[in-house]
Amino acid sequence: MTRTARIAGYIVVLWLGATANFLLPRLLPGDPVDFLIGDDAGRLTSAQRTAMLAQFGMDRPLIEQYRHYMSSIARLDLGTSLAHGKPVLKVIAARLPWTLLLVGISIILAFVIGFVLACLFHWVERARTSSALMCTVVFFGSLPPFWVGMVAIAIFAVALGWLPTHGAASLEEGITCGSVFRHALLPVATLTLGYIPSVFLVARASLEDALGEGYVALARSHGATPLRVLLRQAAPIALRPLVNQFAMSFGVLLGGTVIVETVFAYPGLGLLLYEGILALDFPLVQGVFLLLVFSVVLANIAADILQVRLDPRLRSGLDATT
Amino acid sequence: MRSRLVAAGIGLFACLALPGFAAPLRVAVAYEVTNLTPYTPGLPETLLELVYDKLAAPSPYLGNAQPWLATAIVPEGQDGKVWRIELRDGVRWHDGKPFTASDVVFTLRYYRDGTPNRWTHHVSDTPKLTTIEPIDRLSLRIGCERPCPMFDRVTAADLVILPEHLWRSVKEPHLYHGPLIGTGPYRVSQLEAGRFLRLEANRDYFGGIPRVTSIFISFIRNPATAFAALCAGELDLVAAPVPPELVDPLSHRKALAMTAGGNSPVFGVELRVNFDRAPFSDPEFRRALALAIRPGEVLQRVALGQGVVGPFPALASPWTKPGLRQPSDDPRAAAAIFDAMGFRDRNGDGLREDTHGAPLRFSLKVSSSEPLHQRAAQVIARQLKAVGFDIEVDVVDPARSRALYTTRQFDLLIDDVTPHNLADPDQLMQSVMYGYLWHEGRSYPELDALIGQWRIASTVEARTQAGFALQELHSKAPVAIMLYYPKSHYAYRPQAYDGWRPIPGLGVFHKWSLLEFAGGVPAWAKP
Repeated sequence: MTRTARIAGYIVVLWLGATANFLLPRLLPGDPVDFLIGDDAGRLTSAQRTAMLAQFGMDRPLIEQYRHYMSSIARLDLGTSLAHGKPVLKVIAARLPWTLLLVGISIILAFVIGFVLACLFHWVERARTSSALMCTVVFFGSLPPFWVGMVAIAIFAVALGWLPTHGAASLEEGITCGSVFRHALLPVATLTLGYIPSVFLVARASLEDALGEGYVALARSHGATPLRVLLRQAAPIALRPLVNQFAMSFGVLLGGTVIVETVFAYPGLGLLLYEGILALDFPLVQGVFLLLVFSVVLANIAADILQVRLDPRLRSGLDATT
Repeated sequence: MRSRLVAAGIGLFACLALPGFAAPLRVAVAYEVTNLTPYTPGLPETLLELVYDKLAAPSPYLGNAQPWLATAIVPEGQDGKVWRIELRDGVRWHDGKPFTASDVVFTLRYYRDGTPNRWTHHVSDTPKLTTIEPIDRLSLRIGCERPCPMFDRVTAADLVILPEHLWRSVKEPHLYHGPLIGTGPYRVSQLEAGRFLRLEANRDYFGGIPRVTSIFISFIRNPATAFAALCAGELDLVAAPVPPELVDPLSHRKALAMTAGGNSPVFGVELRVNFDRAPFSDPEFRRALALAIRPGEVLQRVALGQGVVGPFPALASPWTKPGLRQPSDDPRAAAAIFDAMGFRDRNGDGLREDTHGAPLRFSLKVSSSEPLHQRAAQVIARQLKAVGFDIEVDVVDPARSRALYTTRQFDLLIDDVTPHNLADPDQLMQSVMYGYLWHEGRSYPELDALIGQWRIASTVEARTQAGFALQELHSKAPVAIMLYYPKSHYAYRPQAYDGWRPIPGLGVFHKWSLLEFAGGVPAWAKP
């Protein structure tokens, strides 16, 4: 694919994402006034309801709302959150660091552990041990995150009293490194545990491919030990497919924080999104989803660039087609 | 060394000087506190009233409201339309400005004429205030469009008063982010949406001395996490009822104590029937439906027997007709009515069909965030199957459940019903006019006549009797079939604070639990 075609593709994906993002909340029955007024929303006159919707620009025809929405995005204006009464960008900015902390650490840990386990899988040549390793990893990855989170709370917070049950930092201590670290441990562990298997499976397959290459056979014939072959010859090549997965995982994990943050009452984007959906807070939900779409597309662009840097053959292929 | 001694001395003096508990009290709530004004969606009145006050207290639910910010709320004339309100002298807002009649006049007008919120219909509709005029610095007069004999014990106990000097220029109150200033026993010290709200005691509070000097209120949506945090010693109170299955385990934990009462019995779980859709639009069909349901079994299976069954509205409310009964527990009678109406099983498949041969298949909506409601839905589906219905339980997300209800896109739906709808006599009229129990204007001559009587009733007694007649009419063919009134238990750490006072309709986390009353504890605040 040419570079121009790729850029056009990204733009189309962004536009489609933004459009779906606009339409989806509006396909739900009801409107945010029900949330703002509660049980008594039914008694509002249509004039009162329209006046309330007008405060948030939701009284206009759909096409006009869409036009306004797209032009606002261009100005980085994501509207005003109904539940918070503040600009969406400001609300998101306050929560984003907490989620980046969870997701950032979880991605790194999941990749390191998943890759090490894949190497271990190939290094341990006994079939029974390899199968046990595979089953264990897949088993833990299949556990529902909310259940893992609750079990972790029951063991490490309630029974042992080692770690806090909820929140991002101690209320009494405030935001200190120690407090933030302790509060992040269980949510990070829950997120990481859920993501290790997919890293493990991709790494295992790419290591298997790499180990079948001719240069690996050559290294073996020169008397290299299996561990040296694995780490020096196969592992660097096997890392390349993981770059794409690394980029994709950002979006997946960002979405996955909804459950983990709700279980641990962690004040990040996931919990914000969940509350926004409950409240039919269209501007907020749109803002968070838009951020997800942008971050996934940006991560893919970064992965493309990185792939080219890691594999010179791709660069020449690209140059040849441009 | 010297400075340490001085610091220790100051600390000791501070501890002795404070009347209550110096350590911050840690409380979890199940809703996110994004702001703290009457326009903040989803906030319960109990949290608002830690910071703000109402003219009368504690609530409109039990008929025991007494003047609070007011010293007297007295009717003028015989028609029940005009009231004179005298206010306390010497009350100050948290920023030091004096509280006067102009604040009350401003607030009532702002609620009546401005952007609606959950409470504003109490001055803009039922009742509708036509005149709100100051008399002097500490008194005012209000006039209602129609008789408003409940003004002193219902309306005055429903609305928190706002400071005019901060709210005068606010055009879009849902977007207000100015200082959160009230006259209440606690001041807002810090608010971090999604994390916590910190309140500090107002030492100059007119209504008594706050016994706890500082409160951290954190938001935990997941009840399992909240109660785990309580067990782990990270919280001192979870301000939500303990789920039935946790009552026993938590009551055996050494560091915890439990108090019962609070919301019950003015908080319940009900089956809502969409009277806009056939065949539920037929009163006879609704009566048979209610007869087919056995609420006692729902209570046993869902709430593990912790609670009581009873009619709509609330059992314990003085505004509920004594001896009111909801048709129930008679599937045979239900079957006979369905037969007589032509809903019979014509093809022997165990399902009733209507006169056109269509089987009686209905959906029962229930929110995915309410596991107890889901259990109740299964029990109801089975009970209705026994009389020949096919009920499909449809679990939907909470926002969709709410939207389906407000847009009337449901057959049957299970939801909580709050004290506001169960025990507020003015709200009963709102309910029959605006869609919860009926729509005004939809043909129901018997109901229209009763609404007319209610509106012209100019005394508390006449208004109460008119309310009783409405309740009786509703009970004959209910659209809100009460399933049960759960007994609310609240778990807390007594070593942190042991002064919780359960008040029906308010739970335990309210200002009346946190005050050292100057003249002794009022009767309504006693557990």
